[in-house]
Amino acid sequence: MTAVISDRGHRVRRLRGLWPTYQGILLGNLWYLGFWAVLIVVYTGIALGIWLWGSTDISLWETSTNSTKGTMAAVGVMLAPAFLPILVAAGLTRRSFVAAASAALATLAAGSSLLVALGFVVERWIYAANEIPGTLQNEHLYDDTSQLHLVFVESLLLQLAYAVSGALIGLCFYRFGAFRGILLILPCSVLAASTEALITGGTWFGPEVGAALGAGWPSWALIVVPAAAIAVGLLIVRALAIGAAVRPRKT
Amino acid sequence: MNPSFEEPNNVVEVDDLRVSYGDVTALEGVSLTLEANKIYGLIGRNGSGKTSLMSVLAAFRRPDSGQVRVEGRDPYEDAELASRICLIRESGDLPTAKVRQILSMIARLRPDWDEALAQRLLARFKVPADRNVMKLSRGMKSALGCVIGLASRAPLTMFDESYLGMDAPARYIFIEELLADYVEHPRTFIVSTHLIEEFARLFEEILIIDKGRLIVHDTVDTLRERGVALSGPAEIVDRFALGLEVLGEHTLGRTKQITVYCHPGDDLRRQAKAAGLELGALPLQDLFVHLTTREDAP
Repeated sequence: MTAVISDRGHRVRRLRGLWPTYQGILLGNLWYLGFWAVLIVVYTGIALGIWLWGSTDISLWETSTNSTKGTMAAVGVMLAPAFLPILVAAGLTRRSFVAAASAALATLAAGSSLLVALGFVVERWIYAANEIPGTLQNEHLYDDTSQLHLVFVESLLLQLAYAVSGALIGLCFYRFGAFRGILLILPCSVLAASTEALITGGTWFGPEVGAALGAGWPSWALIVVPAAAIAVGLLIVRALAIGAAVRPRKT
Repeated sequence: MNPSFEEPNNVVEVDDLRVSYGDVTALEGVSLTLEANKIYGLIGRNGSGKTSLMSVLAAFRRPDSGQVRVEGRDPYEDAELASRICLIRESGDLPTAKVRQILSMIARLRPDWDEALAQRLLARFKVPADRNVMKLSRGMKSALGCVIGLASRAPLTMFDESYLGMDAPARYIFIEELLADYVEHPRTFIVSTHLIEEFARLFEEILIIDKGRLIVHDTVDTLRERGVALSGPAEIVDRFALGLEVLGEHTLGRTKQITVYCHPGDDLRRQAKAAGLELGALPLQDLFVHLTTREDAP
């Protein structure tokens, strides 16, 4: 809802300034490009090392997704402390901040997921040329890395889940302080952990739970359920942000 | 200014406001009304509740109880109203970016932004536009806050000790520019300061907050009249002081000086003169000190 009627009959707008705020948040996260540059250099180095001195039969690029998820979580953690006070002081509502920040997170996650998919394209080309099987270690929405649309969707869901969990953690620290923030890390991480376990059988809850969670679910459910959970996570972010007082910044 | 907004005479209405931080009560029972297009001085000791009051007006936080209205509306999460309220805090609310980038972002969020004024003020304060804000001195950061506050042209603009770190010439420039811009574009300013005498020439009205309560809201002229220093022989001063609100007293030998808080009408002045007492005006800063250090102060 973007507008409500106040008790004096005014139409109260809740959102404005979304486009410049969205751009500002993206600009403030330009370091994410640097992360990708480093990631590409590191994986190029590992691939060169293996080509020169070793051998492999697994997909190396599959392991890169761990660092992309972790970095998206860091982007999420920093959102509220870094941008909320600045933007409210610049005359924005908290709702506007959450709307623009959600769009910025989605953009970063989508861009990052495109690069993940592109990485698999490059890896498949190199592995095919060198007759390397490129076995996947984890469960995925896709059976092999040529299903680029599923590679993209899986990466997008995972990165968004980590980013929203991060945003919840950052907001809890900002709103409730360090002590209660630490206590709330665990519940805030449920979104990332369960999405990971559901899609990749990840080890957050141990391999047994990871394997059991989502077992036998149709593919569409493995997409729709995490997407719905991310949407709920964003609603919680919004609710937490609306009540957050803007504290003095230490400069 | 946005023509869709009516221009109410009272820009701020606060009724029985209470703000607390855990067990600490920052504001209690504060009620006030501020008329549009005036410059208000907000003074109080450290921790008296000045920042809390301005934070609530700027929708930086919700009050615990009581009602706050800006332009007749609750400012909290009102997108249009938020763009018309600007609070510049001494702690600064500046991102880690170049000055030029910060101004560019704020210009897109503030509907009444004056870019020419911003550039002129940057030059006057000698703030380099291409420098990262983290590399600015404390005084330059404060000056940048003042630039943003003035160039935003928000109908309700508040400066919370925004001059900290600025040297005397920079503070004088700030006062001069604020007055000049106010004359050309009248709007409501609330300026919180500890430099009472230096900033007093800005103010039309003064609000004094002490221990979370509003203890004085008067025009500067009235307030100046209220603070009176009487001096003379101790016994005459003591007799004269009966029935007056004595804020403080000093004795030197047989001479005594008392500070009283009253409306010194002609009769009091005549009586004081007839009694052989010297009657002097009390500087605002001294009056403030007396009002906020009384034992029985609320």
